Amino acid sequence: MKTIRYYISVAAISIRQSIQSRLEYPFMLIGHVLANCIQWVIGFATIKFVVDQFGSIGGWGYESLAFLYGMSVLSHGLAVVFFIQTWGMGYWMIDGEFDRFLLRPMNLIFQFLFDDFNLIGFTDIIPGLMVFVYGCVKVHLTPSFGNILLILCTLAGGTLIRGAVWMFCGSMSFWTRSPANFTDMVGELFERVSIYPLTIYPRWVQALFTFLLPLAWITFWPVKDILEPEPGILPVPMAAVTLAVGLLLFAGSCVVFRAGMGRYESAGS
Amino acid sequence: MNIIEVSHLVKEYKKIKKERGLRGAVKNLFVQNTETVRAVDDISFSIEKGDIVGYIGPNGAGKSTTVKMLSGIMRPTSGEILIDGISPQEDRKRVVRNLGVVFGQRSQLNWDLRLGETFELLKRIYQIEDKTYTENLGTLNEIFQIDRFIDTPVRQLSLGQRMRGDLVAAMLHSPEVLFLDEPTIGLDVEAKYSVRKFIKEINQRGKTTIILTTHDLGDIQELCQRVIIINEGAIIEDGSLDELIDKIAPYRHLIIDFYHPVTIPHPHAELVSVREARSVYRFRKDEITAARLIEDISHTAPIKEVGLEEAKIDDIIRTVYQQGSTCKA
Repeated sequence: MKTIRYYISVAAISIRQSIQSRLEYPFMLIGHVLANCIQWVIGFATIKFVVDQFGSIGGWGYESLAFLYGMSVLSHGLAVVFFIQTWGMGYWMIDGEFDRFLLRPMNLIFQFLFDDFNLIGFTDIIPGLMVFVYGCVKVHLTPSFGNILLILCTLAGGTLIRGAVWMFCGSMSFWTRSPANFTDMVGELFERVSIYPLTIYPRWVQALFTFLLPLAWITFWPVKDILEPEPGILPVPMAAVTLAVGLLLFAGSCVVFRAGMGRYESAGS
Repeated sequence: MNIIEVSHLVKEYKKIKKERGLRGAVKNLFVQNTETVRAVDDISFSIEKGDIVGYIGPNGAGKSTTVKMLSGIMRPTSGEILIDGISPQEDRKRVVRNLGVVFGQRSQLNWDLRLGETFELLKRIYQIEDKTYTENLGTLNEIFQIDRFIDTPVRQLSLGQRMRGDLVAAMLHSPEVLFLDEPTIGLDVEAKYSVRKFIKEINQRGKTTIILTTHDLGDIQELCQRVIIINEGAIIEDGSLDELIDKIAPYRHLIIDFYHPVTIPHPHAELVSVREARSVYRFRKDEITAARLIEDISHTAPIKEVGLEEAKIDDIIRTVYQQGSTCKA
């Protein structure tokens, strides 16, 4: 209990200081707000245009697509808030930035995750929320306790899946000793799989992203379950599976991170 | 009591040899020629509580590697380290709680924020009580006058101010052991002076044990009771600076200007040069004192001016480094 309170107090000041750091550069923040709002809103406008021309995408109307799209951008934003450090892990490793963590008497993963609480992620969350709320209204989602819980589980699970996969990729730098990792490439992959309904892909691709590389759980399965529940397939809601997959992957990525830190050799002479 | 115990410490790493050109690059993909290099080669020493020890050696001798292993950043290939009885490789958190580390080439300060913010973060991380924190900051401020720039963003500090900030950050939780890796690198005379003063003060006030690596021998002369010299990963000298000087350069030179050209030999000093009215004597300081020599000579001829030359510390250390390389080669 004392330990938890200690970690919370350090997390609080780290988050506060990360926000202060970002506020040092207000123009960068404004730039991101504009760029990300335009990017995501136009992204959705394109989807709506396609639906208006062809009637549906993978059997989904634009109302459901807005809900799916919004959910995806929201968990993307959250993942950017909490896990952006993973993008630069290779450089951190080469520059010996992890030294600082090793010299402080705290858990390494905690220090790594809370070192840079990224306010910029909220510039994704704003447009995400806009499209998501629009989607909620259009699909006439009842704001019941159950639905809210399912949405929160999906967001938490989706964020963890994204973050964990980034952390796997980032940790590879400990072995390759190269700053290049695949975080940006998997970022693209996340988008392809979580913004569009999985049903547009051939069956083997669907199976791949459901069982082998479980990215379809970020949005597709839980959203499908929220919009048109089919009881009987699973004993629990799909959103619960998303959360479980997220937690499991995150735990796995922590193990890989720790193993990587064991190989860490600092930098310089 | 020994607060630091290092025994048979070894750090090996693989050095990759690359072949020339494109053909070599393709070949390197399949066959890699690696060579195992020992950056630290069987080093043992122990340090008593409250000592300031200079850990010196030429570039690439293995100084930083040793400090990184001592502070738990790197794992040794073999050998054992105990800081206050605990191995940093086995219980990192417990060791670092009682450890301050400053790398002169690196900073732990938050670049974007005012200096004071980093101190507040460290206060939480090390769970420093409000009262202790205020006291410590007050004491450190007395030595360093950091309150003049505590509200300046770190990115706008001069190198000297930044280094002071880093030293204070490392000492906030009053650690018993402090590792300083080139703390005076790139600093001007004034900043160097104040860093040395800081090191002396914290050593005296809190009995902090300090290991200092440096290329500035002024640091060593002013601060260290003991020097450990390493070269090519192995210890080549370990002892007090005075002992080292006596061993490597036992001679001093006395320069005497007479009123007239004269040649006056002395039984305990060698007359190394006589040029017009100036004579230079070389003597061992354990055989005769300079005062005695001057007195003896002044009986024979009147002296106009005297000068005394000590062996330069830089030359002594250079001699040690060179000897170190040759005995290994």
